[in-house]
Amino acid sequence: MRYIFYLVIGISLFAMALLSPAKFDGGLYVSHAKQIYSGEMPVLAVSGTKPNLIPSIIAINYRIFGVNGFSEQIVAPAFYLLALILLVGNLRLKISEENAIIAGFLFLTMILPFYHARNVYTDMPLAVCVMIGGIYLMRFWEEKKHQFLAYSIIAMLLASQIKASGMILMWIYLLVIVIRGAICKLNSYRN
Amino acid sequence: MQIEFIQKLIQMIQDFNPNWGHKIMIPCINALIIKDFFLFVFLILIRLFLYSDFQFLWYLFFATLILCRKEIYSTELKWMYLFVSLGMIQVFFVMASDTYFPFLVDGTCINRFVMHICFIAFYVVALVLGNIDQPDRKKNI
Repeated sequence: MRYIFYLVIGISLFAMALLSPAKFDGGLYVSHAKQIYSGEMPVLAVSGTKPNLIPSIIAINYRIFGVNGFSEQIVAPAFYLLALILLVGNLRLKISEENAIIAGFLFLTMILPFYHARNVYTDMPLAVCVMIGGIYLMRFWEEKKHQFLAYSIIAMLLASQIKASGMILMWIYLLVIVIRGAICKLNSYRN
Repeated sequence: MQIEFIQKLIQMIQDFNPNWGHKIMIPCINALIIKDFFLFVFLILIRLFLYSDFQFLWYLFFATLILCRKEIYSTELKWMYLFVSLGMIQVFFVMASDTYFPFLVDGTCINRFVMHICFIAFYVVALVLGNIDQPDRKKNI
């Protein structure tokens, strides 16, 4: 029963996020997406300071759903749901089902993700890609499966193509990997 | 007094926008000037726990870093704490940049950069608290 309740809240927030239009820098991304759709701009080009991954996704949505507001606004809420599924799924494996559901509820009641899923195109995908990078990097260190490292690196590369601050976060990610490797190596020499 | 407070509260809820955290400092000072301490405490509580630039998650993050340090430092979680902390430090580098100066002025600079790492911070805090909640279970992380 609680799963149904959980699902209903998630879907209702998803629907609410879709209902209201984007308010911030949506116009720029939409114009880039329309240029990509019409072939004036290449896919994944860097235009100004803004990488073009999100406009490319919107251009693909234009092909599937047609040129309308739904194709533009589906991106951030879809990443919002992906974040929720990944969070609950991984916490269910790591700790327990009850705690995972509590964390999922807390995530759903955070104002910031919902607000940005509703209003901004890029910040939600970037935060989700950084989350995937971190989660699967930790799982790689723990379980030593190389597929998790591949997921993590792909997610961080995508993060660097979403926004300029994603590039900074990718360098920080590499720095953390290098620091951990160096400290583990030093410890192995010491032992 | 109570009616006025409820009217102010309703007005604030109607005008709610997570990105005007910076604007609440002026009502805070005004509440101090008119010696309305109840309103002052209420506004400060909203500032601390509700707004998106520095919400309750970050207090919990630093509290777990200090109080659950054994849980963190004995596992791989410490590297994720390092990642999130370095991600927060980028705010200071960004403040030196000219292009981000408008965001610094309008008060949205911190939440623009902190929000990209809030999900992974939420995940590691949930892992630490979940491991403490179930000490008998074999630790996965």
